[in-house]
Amino acid sequence: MEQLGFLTILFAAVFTNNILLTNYLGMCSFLGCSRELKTSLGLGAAVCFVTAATSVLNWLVYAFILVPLDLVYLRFIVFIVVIAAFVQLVEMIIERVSEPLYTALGIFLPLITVNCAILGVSLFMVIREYTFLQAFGYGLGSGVGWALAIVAMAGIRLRLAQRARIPRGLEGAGIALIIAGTMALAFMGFNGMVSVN
Amino acid sequence: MNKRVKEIAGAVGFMGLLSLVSISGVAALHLATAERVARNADLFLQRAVLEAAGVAVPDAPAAAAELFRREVAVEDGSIASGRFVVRAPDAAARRTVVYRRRGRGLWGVIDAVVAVDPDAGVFGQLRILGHNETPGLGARIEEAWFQRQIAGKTGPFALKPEGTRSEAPTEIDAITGATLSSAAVRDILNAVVRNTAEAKEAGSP
Amino acid sequence: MTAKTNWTRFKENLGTQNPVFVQVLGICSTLAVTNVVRNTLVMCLGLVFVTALSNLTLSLLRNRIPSRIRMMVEVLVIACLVILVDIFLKAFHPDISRQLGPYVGLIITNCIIMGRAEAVALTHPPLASFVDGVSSGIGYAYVLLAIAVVRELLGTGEIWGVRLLWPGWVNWSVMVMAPGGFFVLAVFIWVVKGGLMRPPEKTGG
Repeated sequence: MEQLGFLTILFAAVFTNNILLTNYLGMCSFLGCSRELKTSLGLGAAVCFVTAATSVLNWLVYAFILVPLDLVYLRFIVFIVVIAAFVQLVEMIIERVSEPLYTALGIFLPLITVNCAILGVSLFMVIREYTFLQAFGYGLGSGVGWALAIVAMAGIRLRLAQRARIPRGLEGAGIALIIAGTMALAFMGFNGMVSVN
Repeated sequence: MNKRVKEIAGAVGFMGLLSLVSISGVAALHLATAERVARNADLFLQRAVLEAAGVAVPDAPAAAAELFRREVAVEDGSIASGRFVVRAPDAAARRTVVYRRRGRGLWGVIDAVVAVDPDAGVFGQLRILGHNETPGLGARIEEAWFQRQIAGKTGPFALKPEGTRSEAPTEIDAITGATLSSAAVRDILNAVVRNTAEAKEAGSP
Repeated sequence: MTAKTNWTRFKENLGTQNPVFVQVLGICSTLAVTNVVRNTLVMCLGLVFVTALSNLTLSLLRNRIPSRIRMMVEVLVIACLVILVDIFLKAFHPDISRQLGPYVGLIITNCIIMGRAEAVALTHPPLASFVDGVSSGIGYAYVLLAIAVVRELLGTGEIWGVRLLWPGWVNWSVMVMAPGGFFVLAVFIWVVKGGLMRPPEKTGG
C-alpha cells in the first residue's frame, strides 16, 4: 500500500483538495474579511500558523492520549479545547512579545478559534489515519491553501469593485460566493497533477 | 491580588465542574450505546460479505446476523486481510471466498470486500465498506453498477473509460474524473486475483 | 434593546433576520453535504437540536458563567451536544453516520450556534432563547434544503432515491461538486435579496 509522501499531501492540500474550495470549510471569516488585501494576508497567515500547529498537537493528543485510554469519542471536545487553548496561548505570547504584531493580528485570533477549517483539518486527519508527518503536511498545506484562497479572493473583489457594476442582490456575500465558485472550478483543474503511483 | 486569584479560581472551578458534568453525561451515553454501535458495525460487514457473495440478505438485523453465522466461516477476521468462506445455500460443494482488503485511494483508505469463486477464479461482487474520496467523484465507487460490474469476470483487471461496459473478463469501467480512486479499486481487485491464484496453487480448501 | 415577543423573534429568524442569506452565517459545515437531500435533512435536524438546546442551557447558566471564560463554556456545551448527536446517529442510523463522516463534528464550529449564544442566550430568559434557537435552526434548515434539492435534482436527476427527471437527462456534474454549492447559494441569495426582500429605494439609485 503506497503511502502518500509529505510533499504530495502538502501540494494536494493546497490545490486539489483545498480545505475551503473543495471542502467548504472556513467560509464565515472568508466571506466576511476578504474585502481588503492587507486584512486577508494577516488572517491567512494567522490561520496557516494555527492550522499547522494544531494539526500536529491534535495528532499527538489523539495518538498518545485518546487512543490508549479509549476516549476517542471525546475527540470533538478535546480537539476544540486544544485549539482554543493554543490560540489563547499564542495571543498571550504575541501580546507580551510584540506590540505592533499584536495590533495587526490580535483581532483575528478569537475569530480563528471557531474557524471550521482548523477543526476540520484535525477531524479529517483522524479519519484518514494519517501518520505524524502526513498530518503535519496536511495541516500546513490546508493552512496555506486557505490563505491562498482568501488572498486571491481579496484581490479579485478589489478589482471587481473598481470596474464592475454588481447587481444589487449580489452585493457582499452573493458576489463573494460566485467568485468562490469560479475559483473552486479553477482549482479543480489541478486534479490531474497529483500522482500516487 | 487576592481578588484576582479568587476570580481565576472561580473560573477554573466553574469550568472544571461543568466539564465534569458534561463529560460524565457524554461518557454515560457512550457506554450505554457502545454495544449497539459495535453491533451495527459488525452487521454492516456481515451484510457486505453476504451481498458480495450474491446471497440474498434479509432486512431484519437478527435474521441477517443469523444467516451470517450459519453460512459463513470466518477464517481471518482482521481488517486488512480478512478472509471469509461462504457456503452456497443449495449445499453444493461450490463455495465463495470473500476477501477483505484495503487500498490507498486519493484521500485515504478504501476498505472493501470482494467475492471470488476459488476454483474457477470467477468474481462475485465488490462491496465498498469505507472510503474518504471526494463526494460526487471518487465517492461514486459506491454506485451499484460499479460494484456489480466485476461479477462473472476473472481479472487481472484493466480500467476502461466509463460507459464502455465491455464484456471482456479483464476489463472494467473506471469512473470519469476519479481515475485515482478507480485505480485504487482496480489494485485491490488485482491483489485478490493474486491471492486466489496463490491459494489455488497451495491447494488450500 | 426592545423586548421582542417570542413570536416576532421566531418569524424574524425565518425571514428578515435569516442566518444564512441575511447574516451569511454558518454555511461552512453544511454546504458540503448539500449534494444529497437526505444528508442535508439529517444535518439540519442535528443543527436545530444543538442550537436550541445550547441556547437553553447557556441561558439557564447565564448568571453564573464567569465572563472571562465565556467562550470556552459555550464551546464546551456545544461540543457535548454535538457528541450526543454523533453517538445517536452511530447507534441508530449507522449508514447516515457513515455518509456524513466528519461533518457532524463540524456542527461545533458552525457560526450560527455561537452567534446565537452570544447574541441571545446570554442575555435572555430560557424560553426566549430556546425559541430563538429553534427558529434560527429552522431558518437555516429550509435554505439549505432548498439548495440541496436543486443540487441533487440537477446533479443526479433524483431526490432521495426517487427518479424525477426524464431518462435522457445528462447530469450536471458540477452540481454535486464544490463549485455547484457556491453557485446555487449565490443564486439563492440573489433571488431573495434582490427580488423578494427589496430594501427601500435610495434616492438617485
